[in-house]
Amino acid sequence: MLARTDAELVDAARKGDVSSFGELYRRHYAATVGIAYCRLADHHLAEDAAQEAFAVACRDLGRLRQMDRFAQWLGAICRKVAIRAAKSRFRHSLPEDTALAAKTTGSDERLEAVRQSVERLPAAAREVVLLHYFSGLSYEKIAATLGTSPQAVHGRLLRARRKMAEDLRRNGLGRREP
Amino acid sequence: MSFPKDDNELNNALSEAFAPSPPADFDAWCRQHSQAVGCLDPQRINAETRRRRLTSRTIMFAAAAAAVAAVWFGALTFFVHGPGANAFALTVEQIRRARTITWKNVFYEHITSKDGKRTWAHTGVIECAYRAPGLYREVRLDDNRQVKTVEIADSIHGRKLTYSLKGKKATLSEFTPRHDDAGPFAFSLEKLNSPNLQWVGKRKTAFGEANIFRHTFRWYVGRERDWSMDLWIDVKTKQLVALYQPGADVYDPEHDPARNAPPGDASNYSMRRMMGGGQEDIRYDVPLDDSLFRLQPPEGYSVEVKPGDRVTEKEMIRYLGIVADFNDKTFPDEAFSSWKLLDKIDRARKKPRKDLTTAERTLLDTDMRYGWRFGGSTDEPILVFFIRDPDTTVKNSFRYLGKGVKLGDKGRIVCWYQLKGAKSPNTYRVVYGDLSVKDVAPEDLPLPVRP
Repeated sequence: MLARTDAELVDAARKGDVSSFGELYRRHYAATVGIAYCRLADHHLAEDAAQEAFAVACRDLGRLRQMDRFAQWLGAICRKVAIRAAKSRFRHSLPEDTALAAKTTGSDERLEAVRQSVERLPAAAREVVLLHYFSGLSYEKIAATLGTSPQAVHGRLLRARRKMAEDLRRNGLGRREP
Repeated sequence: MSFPKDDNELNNALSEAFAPSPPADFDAWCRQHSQAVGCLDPQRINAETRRRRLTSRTIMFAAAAAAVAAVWFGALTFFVHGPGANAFALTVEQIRRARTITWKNVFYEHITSKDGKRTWAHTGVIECAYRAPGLYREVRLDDNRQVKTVEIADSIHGRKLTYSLKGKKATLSEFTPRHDDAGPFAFSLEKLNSPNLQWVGKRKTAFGEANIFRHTFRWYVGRERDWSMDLWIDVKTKQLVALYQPGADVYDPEHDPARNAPPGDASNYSMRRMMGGGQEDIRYDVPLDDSLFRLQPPEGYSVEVKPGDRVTEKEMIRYLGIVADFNDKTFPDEAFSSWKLLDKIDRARKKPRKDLTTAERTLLDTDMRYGWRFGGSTDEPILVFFIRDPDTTVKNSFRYLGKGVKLGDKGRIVCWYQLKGAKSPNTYRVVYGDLSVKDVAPEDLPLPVRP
C-alpha cells in the first residue's frame, strides 16, 4: 500500500483524524528538530522548539492554503519558534550558560572542531548540513522540506563542506598532532 | 597533516559529530499538547477557513483599492499637479509659439444604406494647415484621397476663399468667423489647464508614444450626454499631437463594430450619423509656402463673391439679455463673461435637461446654435459682433457698463458702441437694462468716449 501524501494526511487531520496528524508528526519530526537545532545548537532546546512548532501547526492547520506544502509551512513555523526561543534564551541566560550551551558532548577534538565549523556556516548552508547529518534526511526529503530540488541540495551540501574544509584548515582547529 | 585531507574524511566526521536525531514520540507530544490536539476539530477548522478566506478577500480588495487609488492619485499628482504641470506648460507654450501648424481633421460617421439594411463606418479626412497670424488652409479629400475642395481663410481680416476642383468654381466670402485667430488649438489651452483633466493611458503614435488625458463634461446635442475630449501629449516632446472629441470612452473608432462592415455607396444613403472626430498628426513649425495661404484661386477659376454669416445687432442684444437672465437676471461684470460664468455654466451642463431652468436651457441652446454657426461657445455672438466682424462696429467704440445692472432696468446703460455705416455717424447706440436701444450723442453719454 502506498504511503499517503502530506496533502491527504493534512486533509484527513483537518477532518478531525488525529492519527493522520500523528503520521505527519512522525514523518517530519526529524527535519523539524534539525531546523530548530540550526538556530539553537542544543538538542533539548531544538526538540522543545520542534514540538512547539507542531503545536502551532496543529492549531493553525485550517490556515494552510496549499496542503501539499505542509513540510515547508511547518519548517517556516519551526524557524520562527526557534528564533524566538534563541532570543529568549539569550536574554535569560548568563554568559557562562551560553558558553556551556554552545558546547557539545563530543570528546574528540576533531568532532568538536567540526561542530564549531558548522556553527560558523551561513544559516542556509548550516540548515542543509544539519538536516542531512543531524536529522539524517535524504536529499529528496531535504528538498521537500526546503521546497527545492535534490540537485540543489546536493550542490549546497558540497559547497558547505568546501567552506568547512577551508575553515578548518585556516583555523587549524582540526590540525592533527604528528 | 591537516584535517580534513579530503571530502570523504569531512563527510565521515560530520556523520560522527552529530548524535542521531531523537525518535518522534507522538503519544508523548499529544499528552503535552492536548489543547493543540483539541484544535483538530472539523467545525473549528471550517470556520477558520471561512474566516481566513473572508479576511484574505477583504485584505486583497482593500489592497487592490488602495493600489488603484495610489496609482490614480500618483498619476494625477504626477501628470496634473506635479511634474505634469511642467509638461503641460511646455505643451501650452508650443501651441502658443507655433508659427505654423499642420494637422488632419478626421471625422467618423455611420452611413446607412438607402434600404436601411446596412450600416458601415466612414472616415473623412481634411488636411489642414495654419500660419500665424490667423491664416488657415483646409484641403478636403474624397474617399480615394483625391483633393475635392480647398478653403483658405484669413481670420484676422475676415475673408475666406473656397474653390472646388470639380467645375473650377471659387467663392470668396467676405467674412468668416469660424476660425480662431489665436490659432487652431487655442481652444485646447483651457482644457489643458482644467482640474477636470485625467490621465487615462498611453497609445502608440506615428512618432512614438503619447499620454492620453481626458476632459469629461456634460453636453448635449439634441439630448444631454456625458461627453469627453481626449488630448494626446507626446511622451518625449510634450507636444499636443492629437485631440479627439468625444474621447475613446464615448466613441472609439478602433473598436467600432461598424468598422468591419463592407462600405456601400456613400452617395446613396438613407442616414448619415456623425459619431465623433478630432485632429491628429499635429506637427508644429513645418515650413509652409506663402502661396498656400493666398486668397486667390488657381488660374482658370470663376470667382463668386458672397457675404458671410454675421451676427446682427438684434441677435447680439438678445444674447446680452439671455446671459443676464442666466446670471440671476443681472448683467455680468464683464461683457466677455464666459470665464467668470464657467462654473455656473458647467453646473448647468451637468444637470439633466428636465431639471434645467428656462434661463439655463435658453442659454445652453443658444450657445449650441452659435457654436454650430461660428464654432465658439459662450460669448460668441458678442465676440463676433464687436471683435471678429470688422464691418459691424467702429473699432474701440464699444464700452460695457453692465456690471450689476438688473435685467429690465430701463434707466441704466448696459453698453454703447458706434455702428459702421450708421445714418447718424456721430451718435452712439446705447443698450439699456430693459434691452431697449437708443441713439445718443457722445456729449449725452455719462462717460467720455474714446477718441
